[in-house]
Amino acid sequence: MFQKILIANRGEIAVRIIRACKQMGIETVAIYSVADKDSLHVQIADDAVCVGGAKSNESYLNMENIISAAISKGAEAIHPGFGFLSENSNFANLCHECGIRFIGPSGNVIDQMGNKSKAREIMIKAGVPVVPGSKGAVKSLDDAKVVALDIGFPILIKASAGGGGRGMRVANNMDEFDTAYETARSEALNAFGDGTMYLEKYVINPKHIEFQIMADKYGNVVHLGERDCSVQRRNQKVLEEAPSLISEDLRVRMGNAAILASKSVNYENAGTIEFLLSGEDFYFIEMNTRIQVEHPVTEMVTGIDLIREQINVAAGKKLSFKQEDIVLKGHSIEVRINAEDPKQGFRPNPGKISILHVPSGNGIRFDSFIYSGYSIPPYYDSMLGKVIVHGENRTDAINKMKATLEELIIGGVTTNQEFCYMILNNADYVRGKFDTGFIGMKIDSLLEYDE
Amino acid sequence: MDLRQIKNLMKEFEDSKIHKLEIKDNEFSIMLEKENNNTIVSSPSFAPVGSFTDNSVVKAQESKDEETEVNNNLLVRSPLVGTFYQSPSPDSETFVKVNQKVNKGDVLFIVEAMKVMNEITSPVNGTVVSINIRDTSMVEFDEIVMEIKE
Amino acid sequence: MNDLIKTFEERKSSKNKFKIQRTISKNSSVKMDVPKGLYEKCPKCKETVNMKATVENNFICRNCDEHFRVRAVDRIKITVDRGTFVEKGHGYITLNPLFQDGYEEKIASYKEKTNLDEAYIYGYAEINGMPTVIGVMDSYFLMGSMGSVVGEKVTKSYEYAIYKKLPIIIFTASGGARMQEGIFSLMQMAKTSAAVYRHAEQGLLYISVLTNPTTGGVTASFASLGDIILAEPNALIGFAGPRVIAQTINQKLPEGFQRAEFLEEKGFVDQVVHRDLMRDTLGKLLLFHRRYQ
Repeated sequence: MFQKILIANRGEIAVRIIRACKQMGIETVAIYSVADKDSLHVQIADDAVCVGGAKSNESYLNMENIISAAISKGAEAIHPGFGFLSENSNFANLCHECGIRFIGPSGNVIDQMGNKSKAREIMIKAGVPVVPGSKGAVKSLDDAKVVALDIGFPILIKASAGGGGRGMRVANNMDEFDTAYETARSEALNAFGDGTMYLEKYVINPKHIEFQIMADKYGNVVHLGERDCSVQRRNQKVLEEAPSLISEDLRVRMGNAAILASKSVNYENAGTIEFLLSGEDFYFIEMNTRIQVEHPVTEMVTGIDLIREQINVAAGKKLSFKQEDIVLKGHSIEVRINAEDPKQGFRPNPGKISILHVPSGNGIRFDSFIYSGYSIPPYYDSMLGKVIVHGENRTDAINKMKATLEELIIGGVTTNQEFCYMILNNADYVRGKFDTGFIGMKIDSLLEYDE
Repeated sequence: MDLRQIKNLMKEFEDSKIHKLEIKDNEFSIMLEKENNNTIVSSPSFAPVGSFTDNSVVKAQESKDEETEVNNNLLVRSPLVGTFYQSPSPDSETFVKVNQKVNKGDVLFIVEAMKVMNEITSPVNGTVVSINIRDTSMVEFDEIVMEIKE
Repeated sequence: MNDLIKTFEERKSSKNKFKIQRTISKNSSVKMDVPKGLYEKCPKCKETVNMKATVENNFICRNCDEHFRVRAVDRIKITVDRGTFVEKGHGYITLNPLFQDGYEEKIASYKEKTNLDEAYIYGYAEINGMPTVIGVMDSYFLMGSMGSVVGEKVTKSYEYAIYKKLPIIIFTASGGARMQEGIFSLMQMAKTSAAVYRHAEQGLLYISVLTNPTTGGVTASFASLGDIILAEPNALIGFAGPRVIAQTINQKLPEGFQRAEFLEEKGFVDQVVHRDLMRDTLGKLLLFHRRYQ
């Protein structure tokens, strides 16, 4: 087992990982930018190293400084969290070359899954259902048009190197196709330096269902059930829950597909297979080769500490559970609290936390890094923390979340707390009638809260 | 606050995500506000005063804390994370000693990172007042390695 | 300082007595350290660059775009279609016709250092499916200087291309004619130029790619005789050294003198091509000049 781990991240997830390490008796080294000197993860870690300027690419994305820090402090492993360098195969390879264990899959696997069109090809070959579309990357605009006629409109033109909704355009018919293709392609070239494109049939307002998988280096792959992350605003998740409302039959089929997908690339450590669900048809869209923001809801319904399992797997241990051991108990919901003003176009709104009152109780969890008196730096994403509840069933979970959001106080900054509360009170949401178009359609009524 | 400091403040404000910043000092106050991506600068009272000190009351978020240097020496900070070396090789003389006069461009020390030696040179002419890091120990980004009196 | 931060600091110092003193195990099988050579300083921009990334990036500094020198085998690898290169012209042995002291030892040492027989290799290859003869000079072997063997192999490249009715592409990188072989080296200038002409007589295409540095007798012979002359960015291309020229004409030399872009401007180079685009540019030129038998 590792004696010392460096956490190459910040904010809420850095705190989460440091806590997990401390609970396992592992020494922790935090890294921070000059803007994060007062951040909570720096205070609770055993040791900390300043790795660069406030801007992310000078610090949290500065591979050389991070590796130097790890080596100087004698950290045998690095946990990359999510975002930043977590899906950077160059970083994973660099760790390997320097004798440092990267807590995640190998650089090779990250590359394969990071290239969306390549990942699609691999899944097709493995027999995992994918959205009808091009076989892999399209060679040119003309090639794309031939494929488009084959698939049928509307079509989603996606960047191979893409993510976060960028490098994507919808073409409703052949007339729109040329422009959509060229726009998406140049956006991709600019944002990711790679203009390789592929096509998918545009599924209108599907549900976003993702499966958590965990694999060890001995070939054992287990899925820990699914999460419904359909409540999104502009491809950013706002609320997630586990399990979803799919039938047990669908769960088994999708779970098996997720395991098949992971095994097809010899996956190791934690990962998530994202599916689109339209009616009873499910399609693979991407695999995320990292621990995700919404991992707590899976932890609540399975009782398994995913971060701890990640560390164990990276240290060479066998998975501590088999597929039969995974039972989804009760229902869990997570809500992401961001420092933003929904009524002002969700504009980010950093500030100083004046009061913090966090509710508690059976099945109530608050994963965060803020504290009273903390000034939120404006250089990073606006997520302050996550409220997670676990109830006996979905109704119980919804009630617990409502009660928790009624009591939670984060003073000094404007947050989306009220906005999330409105979601929990929305009749369609409560009925389970929601898909990825939910927030888009209901935005007006969701914004009808008092300040 | 002098013009250069105001310009720096405006640039930091522009680059940051905050939309409103108000600073009140003993004899000076300034308010910066962004409206539809334009920066409006309004400065109701302005009397040039020394430096941006702790006496100022800052409303809203400051994008960067400017260092209050009671210390008038020039601080030479490490530009990266690595190992600090006082001499070019283990058995040679150190680059500089305390109380040694240095010229702009003289090599003060080495920070080794990724097995590459980075020579850090003096930005000014002056005298080395202190060496704050022990030879062959680790330095962090921005850590004060040496102080030079100009 | 914030109360919370103060509290954590105080707590850290008091809790230290409970911490088990760990000694970093010296005999752990895996030692964490950066392998030597993984990072180097770019000679142009002085930034620390990851060498693996540089190699994968066509041997270009990611930071400043400086095109580093490329070994002959690497040049072929990044230019031609995978698996299509067939080397020709094996078995040449360099002699010491002017009985120069230390020359044989020098050759032996470079052979070992570079794993090459001499400063030039050639053969058959395909670029984007188009067949061609390709020759590459290696500046790591005695500065890419042209002696009898290099001259003979270059000549044979054109003769092979004539025989196979193929175009020819030659990448030059040389300090000029090899001093140790004196007049034999200079004679290669005439020999190679004649070979160029014979190849041209057949109506076949010759593309010369000038890389950094291309100087002396190589510039003054086959390198400048291409039907199409390409060059890499900022490559030094010249005949005599800049100091000699400045002293001879008694004038200060203009900015960028003897650099690829300067020559392009003056018409001695048809186009400066970034290494990332070289393969496709050559492929296109071969396609335009394709001959149907």
